[in-house]
Amino acid sequence: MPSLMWMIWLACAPAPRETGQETGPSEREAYSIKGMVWNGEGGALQLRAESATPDPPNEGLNTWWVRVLDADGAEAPEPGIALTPSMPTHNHGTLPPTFTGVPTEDSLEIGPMNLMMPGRWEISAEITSGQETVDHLVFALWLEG
Amino acid sequence: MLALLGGCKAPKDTAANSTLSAEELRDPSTCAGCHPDHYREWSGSMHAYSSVDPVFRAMNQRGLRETGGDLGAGCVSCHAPAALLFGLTENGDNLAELPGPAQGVTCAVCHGVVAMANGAAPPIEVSEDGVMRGPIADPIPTSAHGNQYSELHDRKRYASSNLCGGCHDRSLREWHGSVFGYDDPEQMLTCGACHMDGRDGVASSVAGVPVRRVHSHMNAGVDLAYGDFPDKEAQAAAVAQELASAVLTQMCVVPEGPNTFLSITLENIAAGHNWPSCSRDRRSWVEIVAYGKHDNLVYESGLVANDEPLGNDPDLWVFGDTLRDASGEQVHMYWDAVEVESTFLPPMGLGFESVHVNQSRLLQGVQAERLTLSVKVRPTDRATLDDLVESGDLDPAIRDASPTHTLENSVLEWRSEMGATCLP
Repeated sequence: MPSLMWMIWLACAPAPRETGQETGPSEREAYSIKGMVWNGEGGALQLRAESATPDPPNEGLNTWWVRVLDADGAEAPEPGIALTPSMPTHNHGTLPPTFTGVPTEDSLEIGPMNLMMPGRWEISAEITSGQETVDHLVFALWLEG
Repeated sequence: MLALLGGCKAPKDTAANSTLSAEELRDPSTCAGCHPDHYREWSGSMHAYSSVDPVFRAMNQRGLRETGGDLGAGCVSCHAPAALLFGLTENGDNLAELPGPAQGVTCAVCHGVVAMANGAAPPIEVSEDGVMRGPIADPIPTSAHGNQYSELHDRKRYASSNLCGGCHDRSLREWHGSVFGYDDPEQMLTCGACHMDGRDGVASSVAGVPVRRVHSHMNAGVDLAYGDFPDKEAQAAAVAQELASAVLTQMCVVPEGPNTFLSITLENIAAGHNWPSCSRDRRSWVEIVAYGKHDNLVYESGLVANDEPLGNDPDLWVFGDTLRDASGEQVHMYWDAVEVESTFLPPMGLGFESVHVNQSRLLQGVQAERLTLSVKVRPTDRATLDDLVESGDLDPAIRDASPTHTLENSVLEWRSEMGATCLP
């Protein structure tokens, strides 16, 4: 019986939001991104959100501060990020289409990005460490109206 | 004020015992007592401004005169619904004499709507039963007034667009044909979803009211108030943000010996209706400016000073309505028009069909070193304002204060060192 309970729990447990997976289109809940870590699809780099304003992200202007980490979670040298938001259900992005991270004292600042509508946004990020290491990840956000 | 504060602090009864009379509820300043943020936002909005707007008043005055009164309530139906509903005007000819609470689209008008009344003036059925309708399903009772959930006021509901569309009927029709108007929770975005930004906050200053999603009553779009008006800077910032990402621009430039080939693509990516929409007097256009070796002007289209009308530039790529009378002459007053030609950028369609529009041109004899492109919009066409000034209905100072907006993220700049290329 415990194993049956375990199976039921596994079937019903919410899927984790981190690790670079897309947040499913059925997920319609805004969430705080501070402290979130997304793994690059290539396994070379990770992206960590240090802070955001507003947080949870909201429709309108959003600015994020992020760090690029190596596969072990250590600070990646010469980090870089280019981030492209889009709304797949509407087939459009925002303007400018892509935002490049600007180095600050201890993170990369991205934005302000005009996420001009509520709903599901897909964030595509190209993350780099120096010239050599490149990784890519996609995650989703639900902006509450 | 004491009565208002008492209302805020005593959340017990419902409509039957509401502290505020119908007369008090008609006055938006009454609402400020418990809803200060909503009141402040509304006070600077075009809903508060709609019947004090000097351009509207000029046009209504002229329309009444030139139609021998046949214009009737055609304009005030939506510009001054409070005055019309409460029996203070019939056609707006006395708006200047009416008190503040009778001006504009007030709290009592919107939050008193119980049903749409298409074809009526105004096109809404408003109840003065002491109940304020809104989007909150479980409102905290207050003795100030009754309160009730209404789908027409819930911007997450399809029906809420019908409330806006009672007056913004043209934009509503355009929205119906767009992906934003598709009644599916993944895609639908109502008028309020874009024009009434959500935030976490309190709906009133009643003690114990929970933090929930509330929404802005600034209703930013394109228009701005002339002269002194509350919260002007905040409104201007909201309008600029609304416009900044509305139209995607792409430009390909190919230097061809003594000429320059130019291909421009535009796409309405953010408006859930046509670009431009709403008023027949809107004008949007593409400004293209080419500079030579010494940064001298070698070509321009749409480069218009703020105090100039658009003129007759044959290259001008312009969007908006052109009104014509029975003889085919262009006119600016809609009651003179029998024909309308419209050019616009449509919103994303239901089937995600391509909505970008393209125009190519060869700039003969233009050797550009630098070339800039941007999209402009005027809430009211300068030629219409000139016409109203000439007829003596509009103060020239109002015309001269009329803005021209540049869509911030539409601006592109090409330089010759880039060679033949497309931006972005």
